[in-house]
Amino acid sequence: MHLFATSIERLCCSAVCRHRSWITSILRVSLLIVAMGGGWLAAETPLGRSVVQKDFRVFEYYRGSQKLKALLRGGEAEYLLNPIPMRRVTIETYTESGVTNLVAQCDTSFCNRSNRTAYSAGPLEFRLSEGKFRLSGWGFLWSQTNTHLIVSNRVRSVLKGDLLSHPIDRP
Amino acid sequence: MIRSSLSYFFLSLVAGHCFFGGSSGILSADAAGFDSLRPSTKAALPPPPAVPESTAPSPIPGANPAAPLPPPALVVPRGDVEISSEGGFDYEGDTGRVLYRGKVKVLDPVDDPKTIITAEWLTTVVPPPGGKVGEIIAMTNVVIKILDLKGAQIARGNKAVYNATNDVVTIYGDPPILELPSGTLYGDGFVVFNRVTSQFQAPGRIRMVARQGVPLLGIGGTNTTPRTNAVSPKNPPKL
Repeated sequence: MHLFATSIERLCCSAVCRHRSWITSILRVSLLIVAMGGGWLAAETPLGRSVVQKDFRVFEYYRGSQKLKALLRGGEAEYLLNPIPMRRVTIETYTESGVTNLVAQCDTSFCNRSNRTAYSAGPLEFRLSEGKFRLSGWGFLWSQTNTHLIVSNRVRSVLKGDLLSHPIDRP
Repeated sequence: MIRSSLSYFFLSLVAGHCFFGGSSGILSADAAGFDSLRPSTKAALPPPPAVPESTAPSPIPGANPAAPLPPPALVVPRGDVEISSEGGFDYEGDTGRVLYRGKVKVLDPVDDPKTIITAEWLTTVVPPPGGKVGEIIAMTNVVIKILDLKGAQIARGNKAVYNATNDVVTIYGDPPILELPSGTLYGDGFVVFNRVTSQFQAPGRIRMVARQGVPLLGIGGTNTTPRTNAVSPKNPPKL
């Protein structure tokens, strides 16, 4: 009798153990499925479900006024992503009188909405002061808040002679 | 080696002439011309209008033909300037300041460089539309090479400030070094280069190391004819 009880206990323990291992395996498989599904969703969003907005704009105004200070514009932008991929990018700054001062253009860049920056490793061209100052380079970071532009590599600029000529009484 | 301890010594190299001035007087002699740096302003100016002998009536009624017109302020056209750098570039929109970093090179003008500047840093302020650049500052290991038909003049320092208003470059150094075809000049604090008149000025105590075999500042030699081995008609060779 005692032996019978012991054998039944062993059988029960083995059944519980088998049940636990079965539950564990189910949990593992389900976790794997969830992870794969999540990964698939995450990979699918930029590729399959990308939402493209045309004429995407980020504005910056002079403090305490409605005058436009800077404008970051993308011909196309996938604005649901972070950072936002943009194509046909234009950066413009304006004086307080409304005159366009800086015009920068590049093919592609990323826009970070949280800190209002745009950056790219590609080529950039920009001009200042009605095109009298032109610059080209590779790799840039544009900070919209303080209108600060950093160009990293292959910087080459040309200053027009008009920008340097002053009326001087020559001997 | 010439060591000067006068209160103000200036070295002035003028196109066609060389002036070395001080309290003891002025020496002048022919020297290498520097006028090739800039086209002659006289040549650039239009010829004066010919005054007719007859008293022709003025085309403008009420105008006095004898009254001299005020000389107009000239804007000397200058070529484009190229600035390149290997270490990057910063632009601050609020102030308009631009900063070039790392191995900066300036070609002035870009198509036919007469002035080549290299430095580690270069900064200036690009004004809003309608404005002009005031000054350009180059810093750290500044080398300014001025090319001429007669040779190259090289100025070295640790800072150079170009003032676009009066077209003057001031080179600071410890000391600023000016390498001329006739020798090397060590300035006292700074050396000034006037691009309008193509003059170098080195105020204060200067030290000049003359190149051997080259007249110092173009001054030297005598008016006698140089010795040659050529046969003179007065002294025929003995046979």
